[in-house]
Amino acid sequence: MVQYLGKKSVSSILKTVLDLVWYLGLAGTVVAALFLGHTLVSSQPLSTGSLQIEMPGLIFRFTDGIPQVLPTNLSVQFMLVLLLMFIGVLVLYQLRKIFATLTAGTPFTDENVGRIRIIGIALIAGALFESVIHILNGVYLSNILRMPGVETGVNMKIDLTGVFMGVVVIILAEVFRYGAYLQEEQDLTV
Amino acid sequence: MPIIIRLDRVMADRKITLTELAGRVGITMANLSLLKNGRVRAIRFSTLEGLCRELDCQPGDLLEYSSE
Repeated sequence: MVQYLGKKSVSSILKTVLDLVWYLGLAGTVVAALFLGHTLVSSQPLSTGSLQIEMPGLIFRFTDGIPQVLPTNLSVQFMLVLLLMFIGVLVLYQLRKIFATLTAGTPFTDENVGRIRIIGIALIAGALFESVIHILNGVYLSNILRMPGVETGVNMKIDLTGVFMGVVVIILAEVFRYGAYLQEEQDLTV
Repeated sequence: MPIIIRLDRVMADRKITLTELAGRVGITMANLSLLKNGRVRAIRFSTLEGLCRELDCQPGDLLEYSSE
């Protein structure tokens, strides 16, 4: 039978995986922050020889480079992506802490309620930031892409699925709060 | 809390130690210690029954209500 909680369980394996992903995510965020800093400080135009922009279901490769692209053109997008990475790292950090308590066999604590709540808020913020990034990318690309007979427009769509997920997670945090209350009652009953 | 646990008094009368009583009732010494010091929120009927049986007393001998 599969053991989900405690030592040598599914949660302990997931905790190890999360530890690894967290350190990789942290390193990635630091590298991205350094790159952003360098791009903002540098007055040279951004090298676009190998610029590639990935969108859901579509990849743009600028093989000939785009001379008019300057670092400041993309700085807002870079900062938002960086913010998104910080949110990702924050969620990973909270998940690691939660899985540590699952491995220890004490999931219903007030600390976990706060952690799940943070994850919910981060999911909502992440979904909104991602939508803003998509809209800004749309504005940017619709300005620079010129194709004969094709009119480009900005798709102003907010990711409501992500917002909905965040709200669900916040409600789950409240369920955990009740669980923590019941756990405390159980612990104080002899 | 207005409910006062008089376990220490009954235990002293019966000359029984915490370890011995915990073993006889079937609860941990840590839990019995918490109960003795009034640091619990509730007591199970099964625990109360075990204490009354081993200490040969009534629930009223172990619990006391004080309005202050």
